[in-house]
This record gives sequence, C-alpha cells and structure tokens, in this order.
Amino acid sequence: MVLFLDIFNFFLLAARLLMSTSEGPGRPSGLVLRVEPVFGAAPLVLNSPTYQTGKLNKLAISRLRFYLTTVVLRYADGRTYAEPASHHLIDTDPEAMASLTVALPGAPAGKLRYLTFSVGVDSAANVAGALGGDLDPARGMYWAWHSGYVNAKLEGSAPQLATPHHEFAYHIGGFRAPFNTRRTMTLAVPASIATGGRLVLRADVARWLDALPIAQLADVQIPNAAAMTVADACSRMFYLYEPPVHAGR
Amino acid sequence: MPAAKQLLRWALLLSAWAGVCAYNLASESGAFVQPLGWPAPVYRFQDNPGTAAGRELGRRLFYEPALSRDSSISCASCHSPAMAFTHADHRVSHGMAGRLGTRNAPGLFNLAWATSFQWDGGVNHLEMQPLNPLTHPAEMDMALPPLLVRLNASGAYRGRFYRAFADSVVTTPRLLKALAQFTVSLESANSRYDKYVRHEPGGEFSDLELNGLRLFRANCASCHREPLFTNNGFANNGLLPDSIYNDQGRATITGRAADCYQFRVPTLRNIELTSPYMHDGRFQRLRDVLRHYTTGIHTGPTLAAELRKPLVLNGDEQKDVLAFLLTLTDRDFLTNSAYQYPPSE
Repeated sequence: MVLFLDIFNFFLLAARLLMSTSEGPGRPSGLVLRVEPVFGAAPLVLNSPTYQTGKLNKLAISRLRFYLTTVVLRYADGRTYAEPASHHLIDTDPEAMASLTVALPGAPAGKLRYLTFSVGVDSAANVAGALGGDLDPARGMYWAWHSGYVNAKLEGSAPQLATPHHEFAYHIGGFRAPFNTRRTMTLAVPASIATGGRLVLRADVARWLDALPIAQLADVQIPNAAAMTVADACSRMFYLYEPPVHAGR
Repeated sequence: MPAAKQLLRWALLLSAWAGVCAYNLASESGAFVQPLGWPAPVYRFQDNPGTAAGRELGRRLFYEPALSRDSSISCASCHSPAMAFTHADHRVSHGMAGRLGTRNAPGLFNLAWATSFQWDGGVNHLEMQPLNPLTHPAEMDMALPPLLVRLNASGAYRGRFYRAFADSVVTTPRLLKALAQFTVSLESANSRYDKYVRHEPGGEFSDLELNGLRLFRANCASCHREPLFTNNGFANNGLLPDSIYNDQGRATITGRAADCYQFRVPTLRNIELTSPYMHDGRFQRLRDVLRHYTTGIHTGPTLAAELRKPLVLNGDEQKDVLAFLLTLTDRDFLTNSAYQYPPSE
C-alpha cells in the first residue's frame, strides 16, 4: 500500500515537473500582494476612538478580520494566473498570528491589467470537513452551530449607539443561496504599478461603514438579508493603492 | 505537453487502483463495512481513511475528560455506550458545572449515513460536529486553542497522534479527524430485525412482531425508512411547542417560517435504550410515544403532511408495534469491545 502511494506521488511529481518546464514565456518571477487596513487616508489603528462615519464620531474599531481568497491575476497579454489553494485569513490585530502579506511566488512576470479576488470562503471548503492552516476552525472564523466560515468580521463602538456597551458587530457568513455572503471583486491595476511585482490592496473601513446605517443595523451575526447588505458594503472598501510619483525620478 | 498528459492519465489510473487496494485492505477489525443491502455511505472516507491507530486515538479522545474546560466531563458523559451512546434518564444533559442544555443527547451510530447533524441539522459534516459540544458554554465550554495547548503538552497524546498521523503535533484537523474515525466506526446493523431481513438464524419473529413490522411499514416507515430507520429529513411531528425553550428547530438554521418546529427524524434503531424520547426528551416510555402519535398530535401550520390524517392503532396494535421496535436492539453493538472505555495502556 505504502509502495503504491509512493509510486503515485512520484508520478504526480514527474507530471508537475514536466508541466512546469513546458510552460512558455512569462516564467514565474513572483508577486507580493500587501493588504493595508486603513480608515480614510490613515492606517487603521484598533481601539482608537478617533474615527468618524456619518453622524457617529469617536468611533473605535476593535476587530477587522476577513478571508481573502481565490486571487487571480490577469495580464495585458491575456494570460491569467490563479493562485492555487488560495485562502488567506487577514487579521488587522497586530498580535494575531496572521500575515497581511500574500506571496504569490508562482505568478509570472508581465504587465498586470486586473486583480480579481473574493472576500469569503468558497462553498467547497465550507463542506469539506476539518481543514487546517488559515481555514483552521481554531482561528475564530468558523460557526459551529451553523456549519460554515465567517467570511468577515468587523466590530467596534461609538458613544452615540444605543446598543449594549455602544457596540456594533458584523459577522458575515453563509455560503448558500439566498444568503451567500461571499463577494468577488475585480480591480483594474493602474499602469504605474502594473509591472513592479508588488500590489498594495487597501481595505478602507470608512468606505465599508459609510455604506451602512450603523445605528439601525448595529448587529448582524447570522446569514440573513441584512448580512447580504453588510457583505455588499464590505466589498466597497477595497482599492489598489498608487504611491505618489516623486518629482525628479 | 502530451507526455505530461500521458503521465497524468497513468497517475490517475494508478491512484484509482491504489484506492481499490486500500478498500480491500481496510477489512481489518473495526474498519468500516457497508452492510449488505444498505445504501452507500455519505461520509467521504477517502478524505479521512480510518486506521486502527486513528480509531484508537479517537476513542481515547471520546472518553477524555480533559476535553472539557475543567476536565470534568467527556463526550461519553452524555453519550454512554451501554445506552447506544445516549444519556439515560436525562431529558436534556448537564454539561460543565451542572449547566443544562436545551436538547436531548441523541444516540451515536450509523453516522456514516447522516447528511447533517444536530436536531436542527445545522452541522454539515461529521468532523465539524464535535465543535458544538466542545465549545458550548453549557457543555464542555472549551475553546480550541487552549485545548490544542493541553493536548500538545501531553506526551501520551503526542505519541498517539504520532501513531495515527505520523506526526506528533496536535492540530485541529487531526483532532477532529481522529474523533470522526472513531464515531464513524460506531455501526449498528446486527439487531434481531437485521437477522430477520437477512434470513439468518436468530432472526425469527413472533406473530406479534411480524404484525408490528407490518403496521410499522404501513404507518411509520415513510419517515423512519429502513434500513436506517430515518429518511435524514426534518419534520414537525405534532409536539406541542415547549413553553420553556420555545425551540423552533430547523427554522433557527434556515430562517424559513415553513421549517418552524421541525426537528431531525431520528433513527429508531436501539430505541429500547434511548429513553427519554423526542428532541427535548419529554417522553419517558415508548408507549407514551405511541400514544402521542395516535391521540396526542398538536395540529399547527407546519405539521408533517403524513400526520395530518389521524394514525389509528388500537391497543393490541400498539403492543405489536412496540414488540417490533424492541427487535431493533443490537446487543453486539452495545457490547462491542472496540467501542467501550479504552483499556489502560
């Protein structure tokens, strides 16, 4: 039995080697996707009651976590690169065991045109049983009572909110119709950053919250129609950051 | 490129062959067996092929009080092997520090055929089911990260994980897969009824039992479908909604009003031992259950269609159905040494 499996692995390896060397132009040179959580123009600082959205001020954000998945790059020459096993838990807590950097070592060199990604875990992983790595249920992004991953969590507080402890909490999950809260976005890659091998994906919490009536919708933690609204708002927070061009360069 | 494709094709063929070999080799003791005439299992064994070491680890974990926050209760506290893995004499079970839950602990067997778990069907995979009792404050009240720290600190467990997974590090997927290897191995398919169906010695039915089977097939089997004695569905079986919990069952998962007061259709195998009955354990005796179905149905908007027409069974007929239900007791299952409290190493 062990022998058979070894032979099987050997064949897989051989097939993989053959396929990788038989690829044409654009051999892997790698790309780094850096996620930057911000509130407006400034880096997001957790538990700092200094933010404002709509009529709420002294707003504090205590948690921002989401699954960044199925990363696909599209190139100007029509090629695409899809990251295999693409599941990344993004956690803005500096003490979390999670990285804000997604390395794509297999991405070919070339001029990028579009970045496509999803926020949320695909249905296959939601029904696959026990998984590890960023999909480990111990990472705090899994619902036990209603099997499935939480696609994104955003929590905070503002003194004007008439809720317990003036808090609001959005835990959006659910992978089945009619309440599938996974969202897929395609962003055009600006020409100035299309060839540098590095993309900065900003997640602007202000954009997420500006799209919601927080006072009326302060707590969404089950898959329902409200979760769909929150998921739509969440998908609006992403944009690709273009560093300012310095004169004389 | 063609060469690579050829190679891939061979690799696929070989892996299929290896799979067949693995299946044939797996007929060691305790390994999963699909009983003759039963449907194919739902559980994907290819994602978690059982081994003797994996099942043994799963059994240790099942009987391990250190899985609860104060190390006071194990899975077996509410799922006792002698009672077909239910909690005798408990309508609802008490977890850590005596805290009471809201639902009756179900029996654990033939889980390879279950399409969902919990009374409301909220859990979609056997491997994810233990997360509920583990983390629920009224049950074991244990978060996963400290549990992993606790198990990794135990040399005995690191050794058992090494034997099961060729790696001594305790991780969430290994913990859950080991538990599933044990729970999916709990098979009950050798009751007197099974022997009757297979025309085996020991499967003789009395006239009462035969009449009970006939009545059962005519009145109960559309939901409690043979051979599993469940259709894996959910139904409102006419219980008066309980005033304490107002448990809405399936609707708490689907959010649909039409699913209100629907609960899992439980298997009836080993029902002699799984008292008390119903999702809230409201009935102590089987005759109370039959009385409910014949004269106690509460008509509500979501009542199962099968129960809208009154079920008429006279006293003798109810006794025959009871006699038949007792043939579903599987003594081999209840006394299987591979399922009991693990011997000391």
